Amino acid sequence: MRQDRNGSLKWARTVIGVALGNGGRVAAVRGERRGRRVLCMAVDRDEAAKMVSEGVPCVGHMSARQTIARWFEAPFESKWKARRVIPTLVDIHLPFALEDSCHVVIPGRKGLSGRCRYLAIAARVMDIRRRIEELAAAGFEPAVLDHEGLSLWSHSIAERKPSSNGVVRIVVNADGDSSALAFGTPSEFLSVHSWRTSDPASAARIVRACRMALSASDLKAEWAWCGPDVADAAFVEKAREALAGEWSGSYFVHDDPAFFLSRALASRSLSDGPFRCNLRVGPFVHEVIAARERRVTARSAVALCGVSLFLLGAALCARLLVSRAEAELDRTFSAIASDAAGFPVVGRGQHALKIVEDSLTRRQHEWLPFVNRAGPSLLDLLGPITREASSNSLQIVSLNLDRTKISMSGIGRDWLGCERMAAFLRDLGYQPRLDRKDAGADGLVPFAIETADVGGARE
Amino acid sequence: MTARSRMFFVLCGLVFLAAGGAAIETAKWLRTASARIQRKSGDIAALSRLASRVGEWKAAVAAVEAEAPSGRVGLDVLLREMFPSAEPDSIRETSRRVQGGWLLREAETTLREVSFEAACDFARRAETSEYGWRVAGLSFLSEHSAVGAGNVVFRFEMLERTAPSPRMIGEGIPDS
Repeated sequence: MRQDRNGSLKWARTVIGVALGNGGRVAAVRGERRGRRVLCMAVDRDEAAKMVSEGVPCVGHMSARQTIARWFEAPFESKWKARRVIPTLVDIHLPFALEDSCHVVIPGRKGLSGRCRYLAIAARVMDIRRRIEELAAAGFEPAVLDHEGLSLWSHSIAERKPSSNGVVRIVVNADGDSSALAFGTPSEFLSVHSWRTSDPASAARIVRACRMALSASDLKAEWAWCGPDVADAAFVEKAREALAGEWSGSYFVHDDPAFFLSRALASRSLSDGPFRCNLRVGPFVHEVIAARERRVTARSAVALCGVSLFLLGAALCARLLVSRAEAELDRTFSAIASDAAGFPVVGRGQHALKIVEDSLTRRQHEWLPFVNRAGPSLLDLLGPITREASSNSLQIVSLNLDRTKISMSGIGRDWLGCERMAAFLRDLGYQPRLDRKDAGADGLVPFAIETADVGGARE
Repeated sequence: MTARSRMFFVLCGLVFLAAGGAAIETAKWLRTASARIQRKSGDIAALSRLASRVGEWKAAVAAVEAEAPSGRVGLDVLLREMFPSAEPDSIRETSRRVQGGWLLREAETTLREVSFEAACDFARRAETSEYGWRVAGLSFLSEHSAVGAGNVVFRFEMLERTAPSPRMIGEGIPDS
């Protein structure tokens, strides 16, 4: 049973973190998310159980003794490909059958070879069931079962930043027979091991083995102590001596050490970060989480439907509006065309324009006498033309003038005068075409200007 | 996620894909529609330019309708007065009916070996209300020997009402 849920309970705002320790001892804290911070407060066991029974989600943990944490490397650089072979690889690394366990696979940083690395956390189904029963017997119904080693290491790093990147943080959770040693660099969890406080030598052996396995002889250790037994100064002194002999380094005790693990559980479930874990998967998924997932799924589906409907609506509206605009343009075109042509014009575009233009050309001779009558006299135009010709030293030999076109020919002193005359006619609204010849023996330039028929549009 | 909810989610996904497809298709359609609308707007602008000529023509008809009837003194009288030596066939007059109950009289006057200025004076007097003609075109051909003199042909027009104005009887101005 593989998990797809990372154990986040951020939506809950308040959770109860419960560390079930040696001999059934319970350490409970109430975690409360305020913005990006999580505030934890130790609470009485009965009060915590009451809050859980009232619906506040509870976070428990699987002890190091009940779980297996293994790093493995997929034989691919592509995450997509690696993801497909993960179940097989996890199966190889577990000492029990995959189908008898619940496991979580957490992606890590790529290895030196560039291949994808994963951390597999697994626990046997029977252990998970037993753990749930133990917590239930204590009055707690955990929505999330976190991993002890990950919780110790990540929260230790979160509570006190490592002094440098080149250290190994060793978290010593001293809790009788349920004690654990968690190893990790500042950025990556390494391993977790269980030990007994009655046998500090076993812890020393673990430390020695880990140091050798990690080939980390040049790395400094940062010892972080926590757990209820830290209150026993004589024990701590003795254990420190035994452990420091194997791996020397700095030492500190976390604040409120008896509640460190429960604090870690509550904080992790209410905040984002790497190496989050929930071993309550498959048939063990808590109803609160399942209901939440159903709600999220339903909301996502509704949102998806909403977006789909919006897209469809927007597409439909856009088509409708543009089609209407086009139809309006067509109606306007038809109305103007029919009005101008004097009969209904069925065609569209250039074809219709041609029909209208032909119609106007056909009717032009009917209208021109009226335009001629109502407009300025042609004689008013004649004066400026002759003056312009004179000012450009042009001698007009022939001139034909009517309301729609002008043609003239003559001789000029130079080409420039002819050009000016053509420009003058252009300014009057005609479209002149100038035809110049080379200057003759007398130095005079013959020219001819003819304008295109403007169809009475010049006025 | 149960099989049912997965099915529902897949269904929503399919609806979303369909909606996305429709949106993309609409976006493509809008691109072509935009080009079509631009072309149609251009056509309407060109058509409006053509139609404006009709408007001007209609305005001209309305202006002529509003004019008082002009005098009916013949051009031959003016020609004899200004150019006594002009030949009798210098004026050729025709007439035809045009729209709206109007008669268009056209007169072509040929003046030979005259100064251009004198010819223009003649035309200007013909356009006075006493005569009521309007120059519709002119053709000038200079003589080789004299600058500013030569043969001039004027084409005059005069509009005369032969029927009641459609505007007066409330029918509006016919288009053609």
